[in-house]
Amino acid sequence: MSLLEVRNLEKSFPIKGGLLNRTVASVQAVRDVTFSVDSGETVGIIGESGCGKSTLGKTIVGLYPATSGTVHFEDILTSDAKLHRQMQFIFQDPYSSLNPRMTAGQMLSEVIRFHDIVPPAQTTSYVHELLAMVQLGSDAQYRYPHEFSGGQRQRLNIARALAVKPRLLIADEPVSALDVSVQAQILNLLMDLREQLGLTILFISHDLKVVEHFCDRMIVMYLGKVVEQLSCEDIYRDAKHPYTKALLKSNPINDPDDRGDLFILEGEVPSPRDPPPGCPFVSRCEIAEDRCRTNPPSLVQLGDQQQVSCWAVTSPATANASEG
Amino acid sequence: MTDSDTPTQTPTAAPATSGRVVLSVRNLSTSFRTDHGLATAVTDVSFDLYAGEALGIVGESGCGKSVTSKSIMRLLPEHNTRYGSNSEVLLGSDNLLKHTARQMQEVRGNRIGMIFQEPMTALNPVFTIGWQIDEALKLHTSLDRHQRRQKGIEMLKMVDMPSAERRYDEYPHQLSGGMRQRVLIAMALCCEPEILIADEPTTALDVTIQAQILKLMNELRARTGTAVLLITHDLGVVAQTCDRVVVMYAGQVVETAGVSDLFHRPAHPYTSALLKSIPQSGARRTKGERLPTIDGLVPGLFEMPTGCRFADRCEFCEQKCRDEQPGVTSAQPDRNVRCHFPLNPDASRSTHESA
Ligand SMILES: Nc1ncnc2c1ncn2[C@@H]1O[C@H](COP(=O)(O)OP(=O)(O)OP(=O)(O)O)[C@@H](O)[C@H]1O
Ligand SMILES: Nc1ncnc2c1ncn2[C@@H]1O[C@H](COP(=O)(O)OP(=O)(O)OP(=O)(O)O)[C@@H](O)[C@H]1O
Ligand code: SF4
Ligand code: SF4
Ligand SMILES: [Mg+2]
Ligand SMILES: [Mg+2]
Repeated sequence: MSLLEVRNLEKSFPIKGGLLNRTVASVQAVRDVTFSVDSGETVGIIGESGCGKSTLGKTIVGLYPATSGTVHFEDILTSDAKLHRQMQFIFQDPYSSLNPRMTAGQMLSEVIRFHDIVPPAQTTSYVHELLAMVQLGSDAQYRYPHEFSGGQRQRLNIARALAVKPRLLIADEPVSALDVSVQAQILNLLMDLREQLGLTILFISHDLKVVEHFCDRMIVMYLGKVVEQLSCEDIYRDAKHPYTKALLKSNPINDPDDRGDLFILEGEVPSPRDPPPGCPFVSRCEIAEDRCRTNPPSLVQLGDQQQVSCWAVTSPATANASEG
Repeated sequence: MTDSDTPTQTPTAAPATSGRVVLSVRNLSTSFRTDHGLATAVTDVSFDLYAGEALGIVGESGCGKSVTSKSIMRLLPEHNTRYGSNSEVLLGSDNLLKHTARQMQEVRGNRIGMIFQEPMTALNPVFTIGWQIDEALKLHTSLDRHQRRQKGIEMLKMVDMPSAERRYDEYPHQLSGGMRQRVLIAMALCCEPEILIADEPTTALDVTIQAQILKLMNELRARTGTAVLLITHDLGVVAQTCDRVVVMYAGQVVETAGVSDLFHRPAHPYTSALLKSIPQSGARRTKGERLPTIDGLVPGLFEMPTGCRFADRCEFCEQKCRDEQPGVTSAQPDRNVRCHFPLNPDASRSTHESA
């Protein structure tokens, strides 16, 4: 049984306008997203800025109410308050998500007491344990957020999320704001914790190298939709969706002797206020066909590891099946 | 520059030393007066920029990359910024650090264009794109209003702006991040400067848009011969676009090398550690392995050690490193390192170690 089951999840934000401040349009941030995550798995969610990654994560943990669709955690709907402890969210911005007027110790104690995690007498020692777990010294408990470096603040965020002993961690770009050397420390830390605590992790990122390194599987989003799901084992061999392939080719390789032409995906992403009726990628796709403009392709299972939403992949036109 | 018919191919590292130096930064030290005393953010930084090359500056956050570029452009607040007495930023025979505000205005835009880290804050939200380009053209050209509009639209087309005529009359918030960055590039290049300084031009952008912008910069460089100083902490971007690289650590240049040497034969322990800490993609994928990290912290501006600034974090540190600040040594022209015990012996010979 999967730990997490997301079915047909939709989230749109109303846009108010006009004299009466009525809803004039909506931003369709997450559109018909379905996937599941097994216990102990690490799944990456990747896609361009604005494609709906954070909104998806927040809707899963219940920070946003879903517009439609369901999220089950071990067969319980996640709108159930009982589950709040089980699922924790690490926010994208390590700076703004910590209360500047509370020391690290106060912040952790508050969370621990609120959720009644350990008997009150053990709160202090549990705070020490948490700080040690994320490799911050116990003197860190007396410090305020601004007295930490970016990487240390991110550790503190992780400690706060882990304080309630969650089973699922949703980490929204936990290393994007950090230097590569600090990024490596945080990735190592998450890897250790995953092993020690058996955590299941949804890892949101736009950095392909990081997702490839850290995750078992990745979900590729474009304009609110899942366009491909695949194992991270060998993405250069397996990727099938034209957008995923474009991402791989735009990913600058860290080797100056391996310099091809920079691959250019032309065009701009359409607005999520007014997504195209057919395939979300059609305006930038090199192999788009007529049917792509009008009929949205659906996610089709290929083998047991992969799902792709693309006409050219799942039902190639017989006449010119070979890709140009 | 001779015409090249392969403009889309990223130029590979050329023997840059044979070129003409267009900008020479000599012993640049930049300090700020703060409540706690004088904070020296950049210490004794020297490098040359050759005509037509792309020179990368890399290093972790806070190491002084932006202060270096803003010192060159004299964009730091004059009232509390101090430059070292022997510091020079030579554009031809002119020392920009000695220029008056008026002279600098001539240099900015005309001879050196700059793209900033934050595309949103660099554009004024209350004016149209066209108005802002027009202001730049007014300042630097003698074109009339009609000609300026023509030229402005032409520039937007040059940076591949979709529907340039319409975009000219739009406001910054109506443009995507990638389009805004194109506008800034167009503005920076409007007077065909000899030098373009780009401070993290793609950090706020997606990889697919980043690739568009990098390609655009490469093409412009091939076409106009503009030298590019590219500041970034993305080593992938450096690997794919730069000819040579300057690595900074804690306000100093610790290594300068051709891009291939730097990635394959780093001489400074910091460069080497930095390269190892990046997750690798594709065939060299580092799946699930622990990444080598650089333990410890960068020393603060007020607690710089007397010896090597990397000593506390360096796995090769010896007593000498703590006692003596390493000088810059160089075995080949354009390859130098600031370390007592460089990793790649060929890369460096101790030339002025005892000096
Ligand atoms: N609270 C909100 N109200 C209105 N629109 C929103 C809200 N949050 C997000 N959006 C819109 O929903 C879309 C998806 O945004 P989201 O933040 O989920 O993207 P993302 O993939 O996380 O992007 P990034 O990589 O930049 O963090 C965007 O168009 C965004 O402007
Ligand atoms: N006006 C200023 N007054 C005082 N200190 C400053 C000022 N500007 C920069 N600094 C300090 O100088 C140091 C170098 O900053 P700089 O902005 O050059 O870093 P950077 O290498 O560009 O980092 P990033 O990658 O984060 O942009 C930092 O410690 C910074 O806090
Ligand atoms: S469905 Fe059509 S437009 Fe969409 S990705 Fe596939 S080929 Fe391209
Ligand atoms: S001088 Fe010594 S401490 Fe500094 S980088 Fe070189 S070996 Fe390491
Ligand atoms: Mg986000
Ligand atoms: Mg900077």
